[in-house]
Amino acid sequence: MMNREELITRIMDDLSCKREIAEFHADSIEKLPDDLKDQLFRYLETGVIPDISSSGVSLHDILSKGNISIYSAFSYLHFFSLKPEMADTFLKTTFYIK
Amino acid sequence: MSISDRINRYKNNQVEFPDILYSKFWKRASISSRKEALITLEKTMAQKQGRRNCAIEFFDMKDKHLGYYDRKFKTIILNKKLVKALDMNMLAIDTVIHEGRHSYQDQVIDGLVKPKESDEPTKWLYNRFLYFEEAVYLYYFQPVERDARRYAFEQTKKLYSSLAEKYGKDEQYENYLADIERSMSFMKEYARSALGENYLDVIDKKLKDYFDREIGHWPIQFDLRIRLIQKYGPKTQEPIQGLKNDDQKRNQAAIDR
Repeated sequence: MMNREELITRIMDDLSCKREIAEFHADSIEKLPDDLKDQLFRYLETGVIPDISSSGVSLHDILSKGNISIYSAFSYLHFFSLKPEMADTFLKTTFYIK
Repeated sequence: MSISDRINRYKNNQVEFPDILYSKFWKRASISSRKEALITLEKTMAQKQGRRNCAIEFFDMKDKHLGYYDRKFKTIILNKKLVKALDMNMLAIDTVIHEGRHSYQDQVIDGLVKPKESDEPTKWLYNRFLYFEEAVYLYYFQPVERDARRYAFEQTKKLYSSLAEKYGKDEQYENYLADIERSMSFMKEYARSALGENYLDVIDKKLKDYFDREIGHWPIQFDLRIRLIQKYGPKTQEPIQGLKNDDQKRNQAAIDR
């Protein structure tokens, strides 16, 4: 498993973002439960998006909303496991970018 | 008839701005009339805010991208679908006001417009140097976005209320309102879950720390801050952190002048 520094470097590369933004993602990844964290690190090694879901929302559902990175997608999954009632709202809502 | 009168007159069905923004009239209007109405809306908002107005250009964009403000060219770029669709008038209004608000923030930071008491120019300045595009709660609640979102929502509501008084309830507004409320309550809950109850403070602190560490000592940014202080007084800006001794002296000298 990557250490924090390696993870931050990987996120910066993947998202072409500043360190501060990568740190935010790293913080949220550190808060993930172990099973989700394992799935994410496996994805980072293999590039295969895992077929997992939380409260009826799959990783693919989240990514298909668009403009969401894999790091944010895992964070959403974690959020839905903590607040299942939010999963339905997420699916029904269009999050416009402006 | 003056040029502005001509701009305000819409040939098809003779509905003038702002009435054309009401759903019943928007549906009947041509695409060019809709574009003209949004350009007039931007001019009206700019005048209200005491800022220079922006040009508006329309392009095909990805589905969920409604538009953005191009700081370099002082232009609002809008997704064409906002004027093509029959039922996106409220989103079009909101987006024009939202992007225009970014122009206002920009002109405040650059010392061209005096900020209002409730504005947060220092936070907007920090946000110019670290802007969150992804991690959606960060994007939603960073200072320039939360201000533009709030402002656009309030002004859209105000505009709609005056139209509703004249023509009655508008279903598109009710849909718009429901969407905004649903997405905002979702984002607030998400941000709380990720960053805690004081999520706004967490985001603001991150931006300030970045500015102080990476940008605050750069002469050009230093000059920006000084220009604001000179124009609107030291209370407008928080004390500048992390400046070198020479910069501190220049800072004091500029304020004394």
